Amino acid sequence: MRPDISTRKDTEMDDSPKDRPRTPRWVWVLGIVALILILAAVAQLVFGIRHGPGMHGI
Amino acid sequence: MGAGLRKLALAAHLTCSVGWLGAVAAYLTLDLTVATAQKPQVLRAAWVAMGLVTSWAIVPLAFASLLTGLVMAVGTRWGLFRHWWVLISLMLTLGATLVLLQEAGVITHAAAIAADPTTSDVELRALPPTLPHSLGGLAVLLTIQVLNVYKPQGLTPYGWRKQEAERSVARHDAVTQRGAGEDLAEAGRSPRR
Repeated sequence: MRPDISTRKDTEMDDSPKDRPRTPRWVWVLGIVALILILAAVAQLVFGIRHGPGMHGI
Repeated sequence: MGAGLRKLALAAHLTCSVGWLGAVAAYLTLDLTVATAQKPQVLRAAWVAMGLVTSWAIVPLAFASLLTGLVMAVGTRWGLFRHWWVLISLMLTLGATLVLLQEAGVITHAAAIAADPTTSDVELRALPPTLPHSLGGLAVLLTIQVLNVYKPQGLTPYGWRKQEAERSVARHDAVTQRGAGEDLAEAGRSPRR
């Protein structure tokens, strides 16, 4: 038999320490994309790669 | 923050942030014109317009969006560092504003060169393109918009600690009130002497 959640919620106090929630997956994805873009920008600055129309050659 | 003030701040923030996005879209069309146009007069007009759009629309709207966003975050339950979507939106907005300020100098300088009637067609065509920056800026702004609309779940470690502290205070208050209520009920039941 399933416990009555509504009754339990009213009568029990949940004082147990909760674990810290994990970082969401979408935050990791955005972070990795941002890191790649930052590294690309740094590489462009360091190696002096020029971009834009007419800068790529044939 | 009261409900009326909150709605006013939200309206201001939406206006500024969507306006920023629209101004960047307008800039992008001019940037594409610069990248593809052959006629010198079209190039010259596009560069001058890019300078004006940057100085009078994009930069002011970026600062207004950042400021109203800070007001919304601090003045509401969302906070500035509690939720990942707010924190990432703030970082992206700050980053976009910093890159914009750097680029704005380049654009206004190029616009001044284009506006100079003594600038030759060769010099006009040699002006540095800003297309990658405007495309990147548009992508960042769209990401911020999506985050702000969907508000994906996820508390930062700081937000989790704050939430736990608030819950702890709420539990303590509930227990104290319950105890006081029981004392009053007991006093009401006891026979008078």
